[in-house]
Amino acid sequence: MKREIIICSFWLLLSFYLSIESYRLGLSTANRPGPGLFPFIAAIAIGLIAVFRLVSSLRKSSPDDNFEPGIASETRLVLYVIAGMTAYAFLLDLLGFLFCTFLLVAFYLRVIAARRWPATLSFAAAVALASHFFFDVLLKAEMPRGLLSWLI
Amino acid sequence: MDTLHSLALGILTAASPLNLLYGFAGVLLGTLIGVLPGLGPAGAIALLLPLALHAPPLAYLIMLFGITYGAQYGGSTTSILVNIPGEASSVITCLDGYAMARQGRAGPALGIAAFGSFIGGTVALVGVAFLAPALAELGLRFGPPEYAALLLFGLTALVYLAHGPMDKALLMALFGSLLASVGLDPVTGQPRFTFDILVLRDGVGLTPVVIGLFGVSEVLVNLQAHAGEIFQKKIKGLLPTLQDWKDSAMPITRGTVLGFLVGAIPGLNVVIATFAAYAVEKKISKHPEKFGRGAIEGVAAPETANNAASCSGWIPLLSLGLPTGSVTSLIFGALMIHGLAPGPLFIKNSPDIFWGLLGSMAIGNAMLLILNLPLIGLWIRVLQVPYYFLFPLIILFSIIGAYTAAGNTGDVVIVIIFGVAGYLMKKFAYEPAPMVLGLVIGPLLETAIRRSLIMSKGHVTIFFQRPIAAFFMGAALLMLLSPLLTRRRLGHDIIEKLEEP
Repeated sequence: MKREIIICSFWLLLSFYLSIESYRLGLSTANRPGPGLFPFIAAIAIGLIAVFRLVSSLRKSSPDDNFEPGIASETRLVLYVIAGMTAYAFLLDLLGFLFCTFLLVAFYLRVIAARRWPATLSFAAAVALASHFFFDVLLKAEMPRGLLSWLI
Repeated sequence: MDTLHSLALGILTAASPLNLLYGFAGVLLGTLIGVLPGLGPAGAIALLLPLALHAPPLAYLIMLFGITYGAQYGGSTTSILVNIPGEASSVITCLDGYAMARQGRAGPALGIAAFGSFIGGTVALVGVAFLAPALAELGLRFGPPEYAALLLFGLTALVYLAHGPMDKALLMALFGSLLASVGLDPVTGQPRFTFDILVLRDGVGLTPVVIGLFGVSEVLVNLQAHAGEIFQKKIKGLLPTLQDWKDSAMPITRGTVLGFLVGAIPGLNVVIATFAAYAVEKKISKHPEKFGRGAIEGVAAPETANNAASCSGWIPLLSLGLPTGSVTSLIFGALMIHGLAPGPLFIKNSPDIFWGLLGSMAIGNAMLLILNLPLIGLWIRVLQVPYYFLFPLIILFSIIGAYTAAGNTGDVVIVIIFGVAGYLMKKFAYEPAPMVLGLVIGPLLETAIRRSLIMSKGHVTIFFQRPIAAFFMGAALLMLLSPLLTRRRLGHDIIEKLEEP
């Protein structure tokens, strides 16, 4: 139930904020629908459904949700994947496509999959080189070169 | 005669070397993702959307279509051989297909699945060729109110037939349409919900959202999944016997008709077609006790139905511009990227694309039949590739896909946000399909509603005064309100029963 209350609160807050913003955009001018009308209707509908779900879950008064077994380790894995992606996004221009790809794949294989260093480094290098060849050379996708711009 | 002539021209167009190459890549890739659990056709198409900017329109669309029906073929292979459905539409095939494989009859099971898919897909294709242009003619009578009502009906149908609670699906659809309103207002040009962030001025792109929702979130969910038991027996003989053909002839015929009809109805999907086809065969069989123990009818009917439904599922999109699920929404997006607006005028304005696509499906079905039977051994080896080698590649392609589409890292951040959102949605049982549909048709719906209200000087009664609009609005309202009256969705208990293994 606690989980449902948190989710419904999120929807309610979103609905509240977006309905105010939509109202500010303008609902109508001289019989012409304004830019805020459509999002306003959608935001209000979201709020109404969230209230409905909140009331239903409070009425049921079921015990607190049990956490699934292994949820902590799963969350850790998810955080690692997201951390890798985020670092990739912010370092791509600086370090370049080839080097970033190598680091990302090596990080995933070593930290998440717990592979040994030789397998990690050789697979990461193979993926980085193959991606560089496919996207940069073959498709001419113009990926950032970063630190290695003098070399490739 | 005109239709058959156009279809023949379409086949000729699709048979050009470039289109054949893209078609081959599509069906091969489709089969691969059908074999691999964890990445469905929607995820694969999402990853390939950025390619739309570089490839010729028809060739690119032929590849995307190839992925969708190739995935149906690939999914059946793993269902039969290793009891792992690569796709949801092959779940029911596991029951009798795997039982046949355990009895040493994997060959006939794979063979009948391949032939049934070919027959179902090809016959349904002819149906699409005749039905889609007729529906498009009807669609030409649509003005803004009719179009708005039709889009509302499509969105409501998807919400109504969602697997989980209807209010959750409705929340997702509304959230998707709210996301669609981010960016510059299509009528006044005023920025909406952009927070002075430059990337958001052009709106939240479909490509990074779906890559996150379907590509990244699948990886996050599957990271802890374990690989299934691998079938080690050798596969002997792929051709069904004469008796197998006799037993399968009627199930293939019924599977084709049922799959075609179910697939063409907005909101119903390929999975429902397979379960319905299986249920019908079991119901009318003289030996229902054989089902689940290796009855070839239990493979032939659903495998035929899934390809027929996958084919007829294009009718609402290509004739009326109505996407009916995640995959059709993505194809809708791909068409829009190329400046091709799906809708009643699509067939008239872009006959080369429409008939070329249908022609490619005919060729693709034959290609799959020839390609897949000898490659079954290879697909089984692909299944044995550990997931820890696959997931970094899926993540990498997701990032590259988003980056190359926009040329900046802003879209990569959107991929990450929607990857996490998709993961949470799966954990809390919120379906992504209504959200994607909301995002795709949101701008069209808003424009149609606003134009209608301008026509009527602000009176909402315009949606109920014109017969076609009133029909769709009535049907949409009925679907939305019926659970309040009956406390159950009409027919939903049947869907739930059919989907029970």
